[in-house]
Amino acid sequence: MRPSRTVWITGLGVVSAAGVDVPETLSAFDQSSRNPSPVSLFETALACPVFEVPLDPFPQENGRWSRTFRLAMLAVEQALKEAGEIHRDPGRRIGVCLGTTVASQLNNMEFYRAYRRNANPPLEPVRDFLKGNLAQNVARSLGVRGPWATIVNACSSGADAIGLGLDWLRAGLCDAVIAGGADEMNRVPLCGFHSLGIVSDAPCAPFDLHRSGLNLGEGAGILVLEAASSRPEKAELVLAGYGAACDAHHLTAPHPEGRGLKRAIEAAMEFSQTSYDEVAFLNAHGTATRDNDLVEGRVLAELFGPGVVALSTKGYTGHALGGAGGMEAVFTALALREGWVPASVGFETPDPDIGIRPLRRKTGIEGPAAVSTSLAFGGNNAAIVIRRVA
Amino acid sequence: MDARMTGMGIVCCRSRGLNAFEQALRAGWVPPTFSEVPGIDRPVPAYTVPPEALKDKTVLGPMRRADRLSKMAVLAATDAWRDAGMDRADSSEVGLVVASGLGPHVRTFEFLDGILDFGDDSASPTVFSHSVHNAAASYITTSLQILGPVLTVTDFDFAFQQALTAALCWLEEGRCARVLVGAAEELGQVMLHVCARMVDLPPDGRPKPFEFSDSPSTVPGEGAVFFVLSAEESGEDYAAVSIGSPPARDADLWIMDAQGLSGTEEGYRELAPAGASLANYSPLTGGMMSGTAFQCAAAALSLRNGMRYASPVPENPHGLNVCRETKPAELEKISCLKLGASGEAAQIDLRRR
Repeated sequence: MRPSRTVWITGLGVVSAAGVDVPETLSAFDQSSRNPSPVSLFETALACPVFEVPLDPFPQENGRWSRTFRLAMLAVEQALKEAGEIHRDPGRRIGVCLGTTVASQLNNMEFYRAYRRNANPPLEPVRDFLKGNLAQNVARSLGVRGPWATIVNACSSGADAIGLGLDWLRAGLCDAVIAGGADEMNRVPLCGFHSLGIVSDAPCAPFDLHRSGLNLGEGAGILVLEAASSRPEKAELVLAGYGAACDAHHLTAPHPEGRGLKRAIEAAMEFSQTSYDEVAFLNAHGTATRDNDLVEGRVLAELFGPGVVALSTKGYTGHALGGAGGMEAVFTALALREGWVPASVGFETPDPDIGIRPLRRKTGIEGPAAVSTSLAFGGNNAAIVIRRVA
Repeated sequence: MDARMTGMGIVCCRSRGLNAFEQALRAGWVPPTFSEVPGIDRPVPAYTVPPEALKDKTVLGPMRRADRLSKMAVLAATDAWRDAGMDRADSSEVGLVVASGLGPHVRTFEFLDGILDFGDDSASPTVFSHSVHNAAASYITTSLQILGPVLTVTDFDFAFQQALTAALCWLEEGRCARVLVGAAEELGQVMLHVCARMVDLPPDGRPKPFEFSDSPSTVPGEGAVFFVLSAEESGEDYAAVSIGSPPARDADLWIMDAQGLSGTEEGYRELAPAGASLANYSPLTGGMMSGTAFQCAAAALSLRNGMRYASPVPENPHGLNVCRETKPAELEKISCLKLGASGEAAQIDLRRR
């Protein structure tokens, strides 16, 4: 890998069950508070707890835009505000690279039910869907004129979108990128994950000995990335590296030795020219499923040592699928900026098979770098390295 | 950024393989098949992949539960891999980027069937896992043991252009030595129903891609095409490929990538360089959201074979210089120009090696 343009993080935006903006999120993290609840956004026979965003991102003027798009725009607006509204500068080429899962699927239940019933359903849901490519829609809404791409890599989509945004900037395709991920609470993936037997009927407990599965969440996490040879005003964080690698093993299960995750982390560390002892903490994917946490924990322990400072924020947010990687990149950046990481809420009892012990309480951190990992269906693995610059 | 195209594989309505596709380029347009579609009172034309094209026990044997989209993608990717002369030893340095407009929507609807028929707590886990957009990518990586970075991108107009851009970025960054990049689309009954009601399907099955009208006609298609890209030159390259800046004017042949699926195509008339040689090969394989990949396959074969293939449906009311005859030609550069639903433009350039 060759070092080239430095990519600064100049704006952060996040919307999740932990908070609808950065201050609310930090408050929830500070108090280790979380609020899983039954599904309220749609009718379902499933009684499992989920993490819904505690506000209605559906003002009437937004018309028919999807909930995923609206969640994304809430986070985008926050991030752009911090970045100084750079999208209003017509001289700048600004790209949009976002990950999602739900927004990429034509899974409108009402449309399909009507199709099955009379085979002649109203086509408005299809037209809305065809107008709703997430990244393109965000780009159009902002009026920016750089590249766009919607990444659909399942649960690593958000992290991979940030990685591709990094590559766009280093290749000089644009001056700035709005990157991250978004996904809404939706009946289809809820039923899907339930069918796989990996949804817990209790609040999730990432890396805990007694973990019993994930809780579905929703939200959006957005970074504004800017390529600059000199440090932008107020910028203190750098997106230093990204690595990705595939397990080539199974459609839904991680490789038992985590070979893709290991390669992804190693690639991100090499790319960022970061040494392992510079890493202040790891924000793990940590879904609270038996398989993910076992494989991920072992890989993290092997690479960083069993005493590494680690956490999973899914105890606060649930698993927001295509939004998770973006949200967790924002959480990672916030922790580096604030100088502390929250408790890995839900974790109580160490699992001797895993090898890492996530934090049980809010903890101050030292060290300039942090790593956020994402694993996904399809055997995708991604790692992001963020550095704080003094 | 540019890269060398060192291998290619294709599965389309004319069967599997480069020979079948090249024969299709030489033979020209043939009528699509017409089928009955629920809720539609007339036969619906479509270019679908014949079942025999998906019979390959060696490649597909280990993925019996896979959907058609994944099978098409795996076969095309495998053929591209072989065409590039690659083997397992290469796999750790290979990345994969898959483009698709609609992804595995057939499996998505099948999963909805499960919810509606059996309830929220009894849907099929196998169907769900295959309804995820990156299922095809997963099968390709498992089949070819690709261990590098993997992306699936979705867009209704520019999915292949975005996939190609990502692949070129990876090669530029040194993330991998080679990238398999391609596109895959599948047609199912629901989508045929939607097309019959939302798209102007020509009753005779013959689309007119050079009409450049505000309500274009098309016949939907399906298939998969993959390319192996490398930063390194080799003796057997098809072409050098790069992302262009429309509207550059120096190509020997312009592929106007009107697929008939993005609404008005009037903008192509203004962008078509005056007097330039034009073609559009989408009537061979059918209109697809990521159909640009098939146009690029035609362009790559043109450059390698030194042939200017006739545009399969050349009629146009605008007096354009559309290729009407297949004949040898010294082609140095072919550009593929695409307009999106909102007037965005993108261009892919292929140059002779």
